[in-house]
Amino acid sequence: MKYLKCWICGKKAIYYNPQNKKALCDFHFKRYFDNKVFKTITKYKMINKDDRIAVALSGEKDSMVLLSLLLRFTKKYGQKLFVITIDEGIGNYRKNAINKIKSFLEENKVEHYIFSYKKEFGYSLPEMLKYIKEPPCRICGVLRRYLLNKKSRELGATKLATGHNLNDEAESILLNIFRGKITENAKLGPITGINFHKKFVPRIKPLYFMRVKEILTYANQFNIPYSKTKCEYMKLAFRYKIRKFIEELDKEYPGTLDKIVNGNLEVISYLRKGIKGKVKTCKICGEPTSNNICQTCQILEKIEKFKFTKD
Amino acid sequence: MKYKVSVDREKCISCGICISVCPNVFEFKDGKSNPKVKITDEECVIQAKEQCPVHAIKIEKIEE
Repeated sequence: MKYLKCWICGKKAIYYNPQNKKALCDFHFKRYFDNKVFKTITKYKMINKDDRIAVALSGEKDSMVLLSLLLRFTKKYGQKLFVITIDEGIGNYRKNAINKIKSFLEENKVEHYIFSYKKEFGYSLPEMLKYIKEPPCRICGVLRRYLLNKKSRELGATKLATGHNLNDEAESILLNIFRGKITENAKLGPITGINFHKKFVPRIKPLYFMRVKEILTYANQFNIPYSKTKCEYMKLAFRYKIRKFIEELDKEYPGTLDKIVNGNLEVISYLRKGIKGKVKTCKICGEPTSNNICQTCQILEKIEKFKFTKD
Repeated sequence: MKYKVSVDREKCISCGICISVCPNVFEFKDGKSNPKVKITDEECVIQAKEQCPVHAIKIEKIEE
């Protein structure tokens, strides 16, 4: 039978790249993927010798591929690593995801910490939505970032690794532009938060230049377990529309995603100069914020107010 | 919503992902993936298209 062939060795291909119209076999695909991620880590000096890395793990493909790569990296260079999961309390969505990856974590002997909205804030996400009229993904995003930062700091992490990929980053850049907040793009980039605030754990995105399809292929090909269910609120988000939009765009004009992200990387240093020195400390909880009161405290205040007036 | 599905059999590498994701639409024929029906209303074809590692599946939306 005729198959697509790897352009390097001529073996049966497992991945086809429409950008450069070249196919790769499993050996060369793995080499390409690993090299690209490790190059991203070294180029942006993401990980130092004595770092303790917290990996933000949702249980979906991106974070699982990230974890398996970082496990190999830290084994080689000797850093410490642990995993944080945030449970929003949306039905059994997160519990099912954790069950799928449990054996992988046990096999690799990774410390795993789970924090839930219910325990930390008193309400799960669906309960909050009853009291507050805002898009669910906005609330969830704010609270999740708050918890990830706070908990990883308390557990002694010096870096927080997230599984954001090229598609996510391009979406965020366009989202900020469409919302009229172009200066917010300064907060993006492969590594953020160095010398930002003493309570802010710098965030790293080793999968910054990888496409969703490459990550999916990697997970499927090398048997990395991951949860396939999507969050039920996903389709309500503005991001979801942008995702579909740039996917179409990228299909018609290959390389659009790279251009959006690389274009932002070019201007990011100028944007960062503009917002320098504007990091403050929240007056209520003491966490880093760009306002006087952080967004998390604002959301929690709104909920309390609503409850108070209703009772 | 209905979808028109086609598979580029030259590109297909028989990895079987589309068949595991969407067994009602895709099947192996002569060792490669083949859509059983040309027009379907199953949503899983989108997942199959997203997961195909060689971009061999094409989907067109048909408005009704």
